[in-house]
Amino acid sequence: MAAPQVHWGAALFSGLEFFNMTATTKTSPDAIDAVTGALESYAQRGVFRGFSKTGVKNGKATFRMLWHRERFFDLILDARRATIRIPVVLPEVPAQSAMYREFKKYVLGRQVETLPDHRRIDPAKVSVKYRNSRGEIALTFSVLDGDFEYGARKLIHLVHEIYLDFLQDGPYYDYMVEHLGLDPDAV
Amino acid sequence: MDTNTNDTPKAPEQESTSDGFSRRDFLRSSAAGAGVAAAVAGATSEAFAADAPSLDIPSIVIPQEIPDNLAEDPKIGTFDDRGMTGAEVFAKVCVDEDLAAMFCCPGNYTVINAVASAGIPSYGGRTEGAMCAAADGFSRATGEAVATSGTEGPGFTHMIMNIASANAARTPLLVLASNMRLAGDDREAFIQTGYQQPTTTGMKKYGKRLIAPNRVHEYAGYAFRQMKSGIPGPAHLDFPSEVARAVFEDSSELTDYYDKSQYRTESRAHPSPKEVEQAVEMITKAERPILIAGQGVFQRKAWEPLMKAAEKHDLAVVGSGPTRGHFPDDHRLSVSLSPDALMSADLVIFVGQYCMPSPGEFRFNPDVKTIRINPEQEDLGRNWPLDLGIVSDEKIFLEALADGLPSKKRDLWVDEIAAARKKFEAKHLADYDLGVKYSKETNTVHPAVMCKEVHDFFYQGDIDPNQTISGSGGWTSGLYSGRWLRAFRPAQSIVPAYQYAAIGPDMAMMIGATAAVERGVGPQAPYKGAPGLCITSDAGIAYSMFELDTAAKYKIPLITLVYNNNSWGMWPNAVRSARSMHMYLFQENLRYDKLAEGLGARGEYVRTQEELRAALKRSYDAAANESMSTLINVQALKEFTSQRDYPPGVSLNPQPGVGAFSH
Repeated sequence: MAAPQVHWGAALFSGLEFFNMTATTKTSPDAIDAVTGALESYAQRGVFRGFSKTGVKNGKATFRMLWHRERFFDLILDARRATIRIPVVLPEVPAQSAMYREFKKYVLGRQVETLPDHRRIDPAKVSVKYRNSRGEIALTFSVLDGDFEYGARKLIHLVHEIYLDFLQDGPYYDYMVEHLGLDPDAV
Repeated sequence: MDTNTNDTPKAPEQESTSDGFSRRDFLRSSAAGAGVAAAVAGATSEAFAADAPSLDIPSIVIPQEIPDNLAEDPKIGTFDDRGMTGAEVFAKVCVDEDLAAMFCCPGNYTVINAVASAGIPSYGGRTEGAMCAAADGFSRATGEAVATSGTEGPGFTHMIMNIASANAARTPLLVLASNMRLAGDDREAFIQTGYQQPTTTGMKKYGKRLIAPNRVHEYAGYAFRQMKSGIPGPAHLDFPSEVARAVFEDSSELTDYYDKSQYRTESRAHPSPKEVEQAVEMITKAERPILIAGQGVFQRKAWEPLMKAAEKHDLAVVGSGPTRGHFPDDHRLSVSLSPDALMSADLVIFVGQYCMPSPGEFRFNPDVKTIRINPEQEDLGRNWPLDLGIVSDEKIFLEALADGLPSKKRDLWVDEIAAARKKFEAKHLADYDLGVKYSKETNTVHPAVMCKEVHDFFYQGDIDPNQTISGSGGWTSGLYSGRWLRAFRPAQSIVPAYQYAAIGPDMAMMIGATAAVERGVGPQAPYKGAPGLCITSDAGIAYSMFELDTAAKYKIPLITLVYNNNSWGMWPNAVRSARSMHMYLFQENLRYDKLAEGLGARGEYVRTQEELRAALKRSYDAAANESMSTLINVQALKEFTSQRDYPPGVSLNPQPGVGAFSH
């Protein structure tokens, strides 16, 4: 697979360093409203089978979604730090595995300039960070221009594509059976 | 007459047993092991004895009685002479309703004899289950109502898996079965007592045990009304002998004995002009709209207005459902080979998508807006939230859409679809290259190689690429072949595993589909008589194998590839479980080609790409020139399924598009 063309902004945040972007133009309530509205719209559209906002405190809001493979996903908005994070996008992926290497390539590939605008994560608007902690892959978007709705939507899009594109098109059928509850009797 | 014996590559000698007698020796010395193909009706052949000349074993022949019987004139019951039996009354309704065919095993004798006598094209086979699948296949290839029948109790329950498959596919399948005598109800009188209607609960659109003989015409009307109105589905009638054998001297003895134009209507739901305007406005405003042309587009034969609307407005289309080809795979606006473009759509228009997915099952982005057109109001909004729902017949809506949409070019969108197709094809060519390598290393055939060879033979060689109807199944074989089989015209491909994912009806279903081509029914008319193609697995073939006798008997020319990996494709599920793997494995190197020969079809055995290529040519020639079916035993390894052993192993195909089978 050819190396993706990565925008400088993406390279800067390519999983190694985390920038605390505090230069947001939105207040915490605005950010929380924007993210809540985006996520609620997905719940209304049936993207999530279940959805709740589980807590708001000190500029932080936590959301819980019943989503792909009937799994619960937490999404944490930290308005003060201008980050939106999903702590467990995929479980049980060893940090040294080929799967994790491909995952990182895939995520970075979502920012390349050759993608059409409607598919691309704009590095001028958000930076993307991934982290693997004991096999659990987290994704964090730092919102660079205060557009939290964009950040939330693009994060949801990215996770959606990871489940429907990255996992299904790649050699991860066994992984989905063993770790995501894919029932071989029910595919 | 093709004996095949000299053309077939020799199989490797198998290990001898302790007494020095190999399995192949056994097969060679047995009657079933000799090369054979069915002789023409009434003729004899020495072919069967080719490998064992010392044995005086008669050849397989089609008895002259069969073609003679098929050549008899139809006889439809009338009241003029001795009156009509209940079975004859029912058969007359089948004729009036243009029932396209019946596939059965003997049993329910009074009814199947009446239906066959009345001139309905009828096929008798070896198992009720497989014949039910064949009926379903005939219907999927034509869109027409087709019947299946079995005897009460055992024959009926043998059909169950394939009734459920037909129900999942919304097939207008008329399920008929005898069911003892009303006089014996609840007494377990004699044999085969069973309550049929509760057994098909959840797998039919309509069902009725006929308990009043004089209402047989009325209930025949119920069945056809259900199959031919709204969203189709199976109708199940069980016939106690008091109904089938009742004799009616004139029509006054029958309730509701009137014409089909009075017991059902061809009227269809029309969208309001305002709803069409709303749809047109949403589509026009969208930048990247995709229309899902579901089963209803095929059932309503709406491919012409679909094409008109798509081309007028550069509206991308992807077909879905148990039948493929109502929008051609090779059209510049087709997304069936461009899964990466699905995620770019900003508007999806479901038309006639009866089996609705949920968001996340089809590969659309979370922000996509949705219009759905369905002939029945109560299903709108199920599973998938809508921005606009319209109750309408599919064809009428597409005609209105084609009229209402303005001309528009969407060059960027079309370019993106083309780029996605290129990416899809490149990915599978890369898998093929790996498969070639694996095949050479193992002296067996990797599934990607098998499927690419089939693809090149039927779509890129001398044969009209629009001609050959195909269908595939099995786990590894089904997932791979789904990516390589094509549909360039309506009903060029059917999806045997659609939604219910039954293992094994594939070949029987394709025998039915090929019978439809043989008769040139509906969309198959331009290709009347052309051979059919089936790809299935060694696990799956067990469910359909004996119907090769049926194919040979009726000269239905089907080429079947059996991907033989010595196992159930789900064997990886046993890898980490003690004492479990044995349940997933078969004897290795089983010879399905020899079984085929024993049933009067041709057999081919291949272990290399080159052997497969040559076998396809021979098989096609035999099918096209002699109406002879062939089973090609494609020897593979079970480990090709495994991502760890031979990456990429198996992966699920994206929905919707080629290879999709869930919705």
